[in-house]
Amino acid sequence: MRILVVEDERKVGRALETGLAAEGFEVTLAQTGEEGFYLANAQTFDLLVLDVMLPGHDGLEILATLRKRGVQSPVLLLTARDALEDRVLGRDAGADDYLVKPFAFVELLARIRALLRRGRLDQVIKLKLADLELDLVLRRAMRGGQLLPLTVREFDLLEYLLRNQGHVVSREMLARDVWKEGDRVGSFDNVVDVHVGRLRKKLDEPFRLRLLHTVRGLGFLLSEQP
Amino acid sequence: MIFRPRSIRVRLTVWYASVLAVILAAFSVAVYALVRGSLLHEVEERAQSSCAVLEGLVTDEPMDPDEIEEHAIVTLFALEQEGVPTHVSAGWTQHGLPPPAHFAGGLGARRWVSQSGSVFSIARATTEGSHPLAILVAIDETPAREHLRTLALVLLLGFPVAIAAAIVGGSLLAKRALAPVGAMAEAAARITTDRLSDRLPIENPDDEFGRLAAVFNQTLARLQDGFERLRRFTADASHELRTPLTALRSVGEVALRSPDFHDRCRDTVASMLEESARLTELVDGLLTLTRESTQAFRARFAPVDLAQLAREVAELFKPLAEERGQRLDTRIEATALIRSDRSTVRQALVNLVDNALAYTPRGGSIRIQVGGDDGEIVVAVVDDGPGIAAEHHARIFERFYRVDPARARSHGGAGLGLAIARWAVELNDGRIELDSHPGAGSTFRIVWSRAPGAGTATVTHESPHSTAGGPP
Repeated sequence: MRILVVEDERKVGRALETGLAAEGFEVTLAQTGEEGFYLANAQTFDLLVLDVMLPGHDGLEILATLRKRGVQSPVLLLTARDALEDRVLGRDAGADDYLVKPFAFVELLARIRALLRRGRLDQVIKLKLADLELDLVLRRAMRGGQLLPLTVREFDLLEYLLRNQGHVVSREMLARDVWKEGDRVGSFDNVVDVHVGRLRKKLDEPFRLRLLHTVRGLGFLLSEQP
Repeated sequence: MIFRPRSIRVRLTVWYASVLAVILAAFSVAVYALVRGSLLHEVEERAQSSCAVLEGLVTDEPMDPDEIEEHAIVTLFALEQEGVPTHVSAGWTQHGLPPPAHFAGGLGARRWVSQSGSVFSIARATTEGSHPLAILVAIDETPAREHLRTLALVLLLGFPVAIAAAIVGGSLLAKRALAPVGAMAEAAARITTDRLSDRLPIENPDDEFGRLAAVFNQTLARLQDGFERLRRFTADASHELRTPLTALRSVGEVALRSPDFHDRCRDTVASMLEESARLTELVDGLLTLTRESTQAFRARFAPVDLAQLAREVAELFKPLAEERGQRLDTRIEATALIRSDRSTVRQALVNLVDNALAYTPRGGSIRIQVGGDDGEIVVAVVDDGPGIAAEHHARIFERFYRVDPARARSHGGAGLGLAIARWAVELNDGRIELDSHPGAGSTFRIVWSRAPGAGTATVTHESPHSTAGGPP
């Protein structure tokens, strides 16, 4: 999968390049709008990560022009927070999703995966990992043949972790996607931690194989290997 | 004690009436004195001229005094020769005027008051010759004095009427003159830090009030400019901080994901990422506070069910409270709908509950109450924590204000929670209050007055009940 990252902030660009490459993507980094525009025109990418540069709307202009020229690849915009205008303009210009700076790298990965998956949305009714099985229709969680007594919130949390299995999810992602909390306050991370702790107690404590891991500094990971 | 009425209008009226009273009194006295002088002088002159006429009548071509009396040329007179009255007119006797000898000696005008109280002006003349004849003429002053009495009456009665008219007129004039001050005060009272763009109306830029309003408006403009610059600075600084924060985070997170990253460094980077998350939260909070608010939010105003909101927030934090051994419940005394922006009202409530959870010790309890009466709608967050000393109450809603810096740091908050709560409440036309005493817990209240401007609000009272939560 080829990804073009257009980011004028050198350190951010290099970090994204390294991080995405480590995930197995083939990354091309453009450090100016012109360079990005040239590359996007000349080559074919599966996805574009475009920074909406603060002075002016270079990113948006590039995007609009690319769309006009028939570039179809999904585009993820990186934008400054609260720039509601950016989001609206971004959608008008043809962006598929946006991420607010400063973002969690794991969330960028999740968004990229979601955009690349687009079009072939699999309607699963069961999610599985090792001996864990989640029935989304009956809303029932089984592990090793035992029914896990989960609350509604814990079930939603586990479903989200399972959908992102093998990938780290940040507390921000959980807050926004599971709790639907847009504006987080300081202790909301604590609320997330409490629920994860409770889920872990029910999910992992009775079993030998641990599935739910905390990755310090990043978030949580549901996986057979830590 | 000096009389100092509080209203300028009353003061002006009193001054106006007093000055007018003094002027009027002086004027009345002067008029009376002048009129009196001239009237009495006229009577005296008449007496003297009558005297002269009589003298002519009795000396040049002697005429019988009876004839004079009969022809009513002069009615009140007496003649005397060498101390003996030779003729006393009937009127003279009738009015009980004394014998001419009474007025002996000296010439000119004299006055005599009869027993009935009438005043007469007496003129005396003496003929020349070996046997001088003394001539006395009296003129009744009563008609003149009656005129004077009428004048005095008019002046005395007119005085209070004039003063009353002055008070009414002065008061009206003062009201009219001071009306711009009232309008200015009203307009000025409506100007808050959120609405510094409002200006005082200037009716006439050239009069004193117009100049005052213009000066006030200039001050407001400078104030607004200062606020705006502070807001812009905070917003710009926060935005500028995002770029290095993004880099810090991306670099750190990508490094942490690398499998060949050294385990000891892993802890260091994770710890730095935690701090960068705190910094991000701080920057977010500052940006929230600088958000150019009112208009954009008002557009989203819709009826918000406060009871439902309270239950929702309690539900959200209940697991956290349970984990910390605290009890969190709601007490809905009334279901209240208030027209407001739901997300900011919720943010305010969340911040208050967050604050209460942070400062209430294990085993304590926190309650979200929704109540109200005809005048107010109240959402309160009540805790039985250590309470807050009164000296902190005024400043507790200020950004970065901490009651106990050491404790707050361990809590890890950015110090903006209560500031954002107040910002959010004021955005929704409410006010936020604190009621707390050390050792007696704290009650933070969000209050909406049911003033016409506060939007539509309805309160339905329910039988008080609580939804209990807490450690099982």
